Amino acid sequence: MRTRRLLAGAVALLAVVIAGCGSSSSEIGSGALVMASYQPYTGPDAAYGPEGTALCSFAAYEINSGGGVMGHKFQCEAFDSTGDPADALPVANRMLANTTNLIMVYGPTQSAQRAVEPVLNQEKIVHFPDSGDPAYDHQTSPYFIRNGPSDSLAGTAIAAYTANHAGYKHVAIAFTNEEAAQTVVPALKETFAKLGGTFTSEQTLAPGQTSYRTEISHILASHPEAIVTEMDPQTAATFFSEELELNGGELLPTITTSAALDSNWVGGVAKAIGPEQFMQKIVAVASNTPTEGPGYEEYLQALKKAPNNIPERENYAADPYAQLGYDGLVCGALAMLEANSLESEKWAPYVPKVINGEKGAIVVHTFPEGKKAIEAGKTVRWSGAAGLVTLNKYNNSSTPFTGYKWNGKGNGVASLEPTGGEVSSKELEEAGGA
Amino acid sequence: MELNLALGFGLVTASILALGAVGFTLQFGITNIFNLSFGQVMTVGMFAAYLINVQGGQSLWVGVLGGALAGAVVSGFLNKTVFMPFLRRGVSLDGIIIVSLAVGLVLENVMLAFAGPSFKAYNQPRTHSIHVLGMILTVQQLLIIGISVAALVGLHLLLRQTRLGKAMRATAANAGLARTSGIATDRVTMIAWCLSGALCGAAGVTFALNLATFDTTTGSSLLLVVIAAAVFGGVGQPYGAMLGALVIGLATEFAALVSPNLKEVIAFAILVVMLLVRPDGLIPSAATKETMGAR
Repeated sequence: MRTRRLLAGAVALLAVVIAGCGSSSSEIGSGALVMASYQPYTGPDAAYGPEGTALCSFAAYEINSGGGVMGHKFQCEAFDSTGDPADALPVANRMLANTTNLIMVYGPTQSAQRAVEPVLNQEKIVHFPDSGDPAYDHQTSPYFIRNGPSDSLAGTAIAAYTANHAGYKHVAIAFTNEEAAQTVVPALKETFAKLGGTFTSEQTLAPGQTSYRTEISHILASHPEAIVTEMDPQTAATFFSEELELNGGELLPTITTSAALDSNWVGGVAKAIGPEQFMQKIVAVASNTPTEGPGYEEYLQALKKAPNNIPERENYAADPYAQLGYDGLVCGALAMLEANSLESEKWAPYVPKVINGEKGAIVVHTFPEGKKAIEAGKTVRWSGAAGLVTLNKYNNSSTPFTGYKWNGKGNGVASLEPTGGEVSSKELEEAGGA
Repeated sequence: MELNLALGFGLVTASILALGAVGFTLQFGITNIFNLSFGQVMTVGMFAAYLINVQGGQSLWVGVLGGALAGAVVSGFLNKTVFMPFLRRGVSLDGIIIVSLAVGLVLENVMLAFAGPSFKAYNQPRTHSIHVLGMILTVQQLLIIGISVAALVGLHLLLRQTRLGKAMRATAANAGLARTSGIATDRVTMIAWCLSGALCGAAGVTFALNLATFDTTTGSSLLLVVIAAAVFGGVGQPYGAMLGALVIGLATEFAALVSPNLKEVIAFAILVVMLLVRPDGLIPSAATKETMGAR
């Protein structure tokens, strides 16, 4: 008798587990809707996690202050993707299986993306990856929305900026051997050569080394006009501080990618080399992310007022990753309103429509503004923290690029201003970009 | 010219590695514990120096001492509260490796919880470069080399000229025999852990100083190369570890002349070849016994 009861209990438990595994994450019940920050919170990329939590909290504040969506408030939950693909997948599976009312995801990062992307698409979870992996340049899933640039486009843009706007034709390149950096290199080399440029030295750096002095000596001996680079914060701090030592206290003009706009990169490198050289010599070429205008002002308000305990929230004031992430999540909420549905199959196709705007769409800068317009039967185009963004048919950004430098206003070196060199969409197209 | 430059840079790398590798091997030689939490103890040293230098406003060189002290205290504490109890319960040395891995993860994540994920940097004046024999070294790098040489000479004198050193060598050679000869091996073991921790902490601070910034994962990123240097020299052999650090430090910089991608490839290829030719490492066990004075 006891055995039968145990058996029956086990079968019931198994049924519950199977039902749980089989249920679609897009089935939404009552209660708050969950936006997941699926980012590394531990390991070498642990700085991305707090950024994900912060931008999600700003977006939740913005949406909730406008009354939420269809009677639901929004809240954020953090999931540690660890930065290691082997660990990232089980975490994603647990997130999908155990999170009630999971509505959309900020992430994955590049290190986890190839492992996790199929699962997110299969479960029909709208997600905003903060990865530039060119493998997804021509993806077709409606649940994938990359409102930041692909690395291949970034490579084309940085080459065009270096040759056409900064005027350097003989440069050294130094990229770390990580996938996230290496995916920029092919397009950069191809475009730069096409524009008549030559490389005086090409260094592929292994991150985490005790020193890069030999590599730097090699670069300096080749007498480049500038260095074009992408490095993780730790490698960049070591590399640039050693370059200062070996080059008489001066950095060569340095052109880097949007990776440098991450607040952790800025903080780490500025501490290592001091603000003066940082502001004078380093330029980051990134997709246009203005730090002014009504959409940006609204973002700043959300940044200030979001109630969660967010340490050093001011660091995200001029952080394009945080701005684009915030924009993506708010656009997701507006898409639900336009689709009048919480079923991801129905509202996912509206996200590109909200971002690009359809004919006759009203440009909106805040969630309440957008909600009001949609309720009045209009369609909207979002111009938020990162300004206007354009998605192509593969749900990838095709926004123009600008060179940014740091001006020292506001929080340390963290305020950005455009150098005046904009790589337009036309220029990108002519140079061979998307 | 490039060779001379690489030689200078290699000496700095070797000095940092030597502190870590000798610390690692000293503790292994006496306890036989392959301690994978060593990298995180290095990070503890980095943060202790940061507190002294940045929060406390003291000189960075006081910070190096503080980092060494913190490494010694944490290592001693781990021995007393984690490793010794496990050994007393009869957990195998293989099992202890896993325990040390877990301890390292705990340490790393506790530091992450308190210090956060952002990078830290010491307050250090930018020093000028000095040209010596075609090498370019900063004053700071010369001090790193000096710290390393002083620590290793001090360790040599301790091992060769003091009763404690003799007791340590005896315990390393045969703990059972040392105990029956009246040596308080538990006490000697504890001192070895603390000494190893002090070298580890100092290695952490000099590494962070050389890198310019650090975070909670920086120490563990150096662990593999430290172990490579220790294994190259013959695990448990402090003098072998010094040589191992020198060879690997120089090899990585010379490899970078060809391609930076080859840095770790060359370091570990040398290690593999060495272990194929001399499985006990650079200093063979017979010579080691003599060096360590197991008599």
